[in-house]
This record gives sequence, structure tokens and C-alpha cells, in this order.
Amino acid sequence: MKKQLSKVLALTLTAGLALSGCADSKKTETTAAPAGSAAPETPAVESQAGNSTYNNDGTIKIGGAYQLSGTNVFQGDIVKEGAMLAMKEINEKGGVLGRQLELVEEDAGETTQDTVTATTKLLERGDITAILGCLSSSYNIAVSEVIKEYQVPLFAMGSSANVWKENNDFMWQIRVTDNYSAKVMTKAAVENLGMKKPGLFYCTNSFGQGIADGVKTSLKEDYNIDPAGEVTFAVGETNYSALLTQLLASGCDGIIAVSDGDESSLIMKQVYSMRVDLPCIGSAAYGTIMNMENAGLDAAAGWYTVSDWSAELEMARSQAFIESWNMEYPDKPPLQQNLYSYDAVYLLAEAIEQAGSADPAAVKEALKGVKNYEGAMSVYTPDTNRSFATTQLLCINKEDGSVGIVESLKFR
Amino acid sequence: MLVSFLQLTASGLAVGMIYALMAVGLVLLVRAVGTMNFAQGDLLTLGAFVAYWLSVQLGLSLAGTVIGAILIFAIFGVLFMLTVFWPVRKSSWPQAITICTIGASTIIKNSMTLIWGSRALNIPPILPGSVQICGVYLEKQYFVIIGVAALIIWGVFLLFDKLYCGRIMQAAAQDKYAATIMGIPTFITIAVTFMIVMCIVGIGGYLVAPLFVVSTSLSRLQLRAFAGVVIGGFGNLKGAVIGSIAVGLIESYSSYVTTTYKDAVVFLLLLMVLVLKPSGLFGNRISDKA
Repeated sequence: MKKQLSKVLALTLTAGLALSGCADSKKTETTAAPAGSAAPETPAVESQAGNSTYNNDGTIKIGGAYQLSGTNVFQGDIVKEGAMLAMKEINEKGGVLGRQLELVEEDAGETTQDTVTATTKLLERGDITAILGCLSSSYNIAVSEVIKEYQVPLFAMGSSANVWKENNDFMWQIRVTDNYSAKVMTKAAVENLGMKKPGLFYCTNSFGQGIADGVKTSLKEDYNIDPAGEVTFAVGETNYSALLTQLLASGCDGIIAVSDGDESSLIMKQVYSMRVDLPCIGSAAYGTIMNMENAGLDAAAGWYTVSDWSAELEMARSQAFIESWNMEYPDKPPLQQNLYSYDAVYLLAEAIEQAGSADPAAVKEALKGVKNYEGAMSVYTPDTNRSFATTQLLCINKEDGSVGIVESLKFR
Repeated sequence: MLVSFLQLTASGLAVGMIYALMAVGLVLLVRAVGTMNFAQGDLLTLGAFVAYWLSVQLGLSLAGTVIGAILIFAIFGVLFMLTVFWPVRKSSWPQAITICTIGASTIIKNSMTLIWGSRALNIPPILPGSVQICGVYLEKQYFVIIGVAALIIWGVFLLFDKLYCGRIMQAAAQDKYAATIMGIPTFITIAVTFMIVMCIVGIGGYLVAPLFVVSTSLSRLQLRAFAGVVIGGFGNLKGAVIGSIAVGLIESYSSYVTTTYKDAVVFLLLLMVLVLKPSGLFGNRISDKA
């Protein structure tokens, strides 16, 4: 009897584990519109044909295909928080075309295949007007074919130039792309920080490789400089002291670092502990308050960063965002990454208004026509590569944890 | 060259000691219950989060954090045993416990995210600052890790080599039935083993967290600990310690040659050991001793 019970228990545990894995990847979290919504929710329809699917009295559904579980769940949370705040604000003012916005989420999971599955599941509903993608460009690139097939606009939160190189009319980028950022970073390294033999220290993912390639090209073409040393690391690397030792052995007179989240805080921390007395410039993550706090404000101070946003940005919408964020999320400071989805939602709302319709094809056409739209992070006008932001900031981390603006650059 | 060598040795040794702590825990569990614990990395991460909660969120002193952490780890160790191992200990399917540890890994990881959120957290080092040796600045935390880990490992060897209770635990691990007949309370010996393992791994998490960030990504370190256990000799405590330290040092030194493929170097070594000496470096020589 006990043996049979053990067998049953073991089988149940195994089945539970397998089902929870399946459940995670198929989890659908529908966030209902906030207070003020009078229209009943429209049931999902199988067919994508028909304007009535998108232009009835129900909510306008924006899909969210980002991480809801797993190691990168914090990236998904960042996108979700910004999007939900924007939707709440828009809905409180009456919504778009008299209809409330609704966020429909699917878990993009740990791998690009999970992201494709999640995006496909959203699109198969047949009522999604547009999709908010992941922070990491690798995941957005992975869903390009699916987006092309279903012809629903996707806002990629990443900045890799490889996204627009997909030549997908339905893939949009909210941020300045890496080909611009690389030039800004190079210019700052050489002209502001006086580097003549910079050392490149970058992550080998799409983002890191893209910017590093751009920096090397810009160093050569614009300044006839070759990097003194080049050290790469994989995503999730934790021990940088050995790698930094190798970079410093090249004799570089400055460090150009490109990486995301946790990596940036660890690098700043270990550069500081090794008492490296060289000018340093990093990608956007190096100027994010969360990463600065994890590194230690002393360690982060003095680092230059090429950022999309700073709390010191003197734009009315930016200050309004900060106020709204602090009311909604009083326990956590706003990150520039939160603004990607925040402004993306507002841009979508603007496009839907201009189109007079929530039909994905109409919204896509309306997005093309956006001009000088003032968001909280930047002023938006799409370029030929479907990248919206027109400004970027050269910033410096201060000892009090604030990020000071050294220079504001406008690209078009 | 000397600067690089010192830096690489210090960081490799420190990280290797963390792998050794995890590996010791793995071997103790293998010997006690006969299965690999695939939640070992998550237990290490839990140790880091508990230390964060006590030292940062509650603001306890170092002594308060350590005592509080050990108490919590000990209780959690028993809880872990009762929920993951005990219900399936007599299962006729040998992999049942292993599967349960995989499930436990998922539950622990997501529970930590639910409680502390998904953003990475920071915990200050036990000894802040760095010390200069031969022109190299080395973090004081490295020395804390090496010292404390060495002390813990020495304590484990002392327990099993010299102390009567350690011999009882070894006896129960080797043959539960015979131990029971001899009057050894196997429930208690297994519970104590789990408590010791949790304390070792949890303290390892507290030690390593200031070097990295407090996030669920810390659980990735368990792969290196597995490699250390296999290289040293499966089921052999001394081998596990030496194998893990070797893994840490090789990982560190190989980054001087290749940064992208340093993981490949470590696992290539693992493959070579498996091919040339499948029982591990110390597998046959001292397999019957702790």
C-alpha cells in the first residue's frame, strides 16, 4: 500500500512539475482596464479577418510578450510596469477612441523559442492591435517572422541595429539604435574623456556585439584609432576581476564597457575594488539607478554613460512621468527602461487615434506618420529604419546616485 | 604578469571555495540519501536572500545576521528534508528523489522572486574595501570567503573523522537498515545532515553575494560544483573540495586566454577526467573515508 502510495506521489510530483512548466509557458494574464471602463470585454475570435474584431465596443488589446517568469523576469517586470502606468493614465482620461486599453500578456520565458511561442499565442487570438516586445533584442529578432506573418506591429524595447536589419515593416524600435549610440560613445570616449588607446569590454549578445562593432568602426573611421585591447564575456558572467585584469594588461588608457543589467553593476563594482584609475564610459545600463545602487554609489560615481533618459531631463512629460511613477510605485525609483514601454504605449495610443481604428494595419500606417511626438523620454519621429527616438544623452554618474546630463544629442 | 597571476589566483581561489562548499553539501546528501540535489544552487541563492533580509532589510549586526541565518538555514534544512526527501524515500523508483529536487528548485526560485521581487539586490561585503598585495588590489571579501569556507570545510572533516556523532551519521548513510538495528535514529541523522548541508550552502550564499548581486542568477554556480564533485570523485568529500577548488582556479586562469569559452575549458577538463579516470581523481584511493 505504502509502495503504491509512493509511486502515485512520485508520479503526481512529476506530472505537476511537467504541467507547471507547460502552464508557465502558456500562462495568459489578462490585465483588465482600470476603473472607468464601461464597455464589456470582447471574447477572443479565431479569425483575424474583419475590421469588427478590432473596432467594436470592447477594449483595445495591446499584447505583452515579455518574461513573466524565470531568470529574466525582472526585464519583463520593467516593461510591464511602464506599460501599465501608461495604460492607467490613458484610461483615466477616457481611453482611446472612447475605448479602454487592455494589456494581454504571455510569458516569453527563458529562451527565444519560448518568446516565439508566447508571441504566436497572442497573435492567434486575433484581437491584438499591437505587441510590446522584450527588453533584449535577441528575443525581438526571434519573433520577426511571426510578426511578419500575422502583420501586427511590435514595439521592440531593445536597441540592436539587427532589429531593423530584419527589414520587417511591422517591427518598430522605441529607442535610438545602437549604430547611433556607438558613435556617441566613441565621440565621448575620445573627445570628452581623452582616450587614445581605449579598451573595449563587452558582452557577446546581440546588443553588446552590435555596439562594440559600431565603436570599433567609428574609432577607425572618425579618429583613426584602434582599441588597445578587447575582452568579451557571455551574458550572466559573474566574475569580472580576471577579465578586467586581462583588459588592463593591454595597456589601455580608458574603458568602454557595453553590457546589460547585472553585468554593469558587477563591472562597476569590480573596477572600483581593483582601484582602476582610468576614465570609463558605459552603455545605458551603467547609468540606471538600480545598477548604480547594486554596484555601490562610490563605485558608480564618475562613470560616463550613453543614456536614453535621466531624471534631470527638463521635459514637461518627463517630470510628469516621475510624479506619476512615484505615486504608482512609491517603493522603487523609475528606471529609464520603464520609459521604453511607457512611451511605446502612448505612441500606440496616438497612432490609434490618428488612424481612427485599432486595426493593426491601420495602426502601422499611422505610426509611420507620427512626427515630433513629445514623450517622456524623447521626441519621437520614426526614421527609415522604424526607430522612433530622436535624442540621446551623454551622462555622468554622480556620487549621490543622480545621473547628470553632460550633453544632449539630437539625431534628426 | 605577476599582477594578473595574483588577481586570477585570488578570485579563482575565492570562487573555488564557494564551489567547494556547495560540493561538500552535494556529497553529504549523496552519502546520506543517495541522490544528487538539483536545488543546491537555489539553496545557495536562498542563503544570499536570507542574508540580505537580515542584514539590509532588518538592519541586524554581523553577529545577529550570522546567528539568525544559521537558525533559519537549519529550520529550512529540516523543512526541505520533510517535503522533498521524506515522502519519497522508500519509493521503488530510484529517480523519485532527484525529480523532487528539480521541482524544489523551481519552487524555491520562484518563491524568492515572489518575496523579494525580480530586481537584483545588493548586500554589503562582510569586510568592505580592498588590500594591496604586490601591487594588486584584492577585495577583502575574497579573504573572508577563503577563510570562512576553509573553516567550515575543516569543521565538516572534523565532524566525520573525529566526532562520534559524525561516525553515527556515516554509519546511517552507509547502511540505514543496519544502523536502525544498532539503535541509531536514522531520522535524526538524516535531518541533521540536511541541516548541516543547508547551513553550509546558505553561508556560502551569504559569502558570495557581496561579490556578485543577490539574484536568482546565483544558482548557476551549481554547475561548477557538480563538475567539482565529479572531477574529485563522486561521493568523496576531500575529492569534492579539491576538485571544486581546481574548477575555480582553472576557470579563472583560462579567462586569461579565452573569456568567451572559459566555461568550455572547465567542462573539457571534466570530460577528460571522465574518460581517463571515471571514478574521479580521488575516487578509488580514499573512497571509504569522509
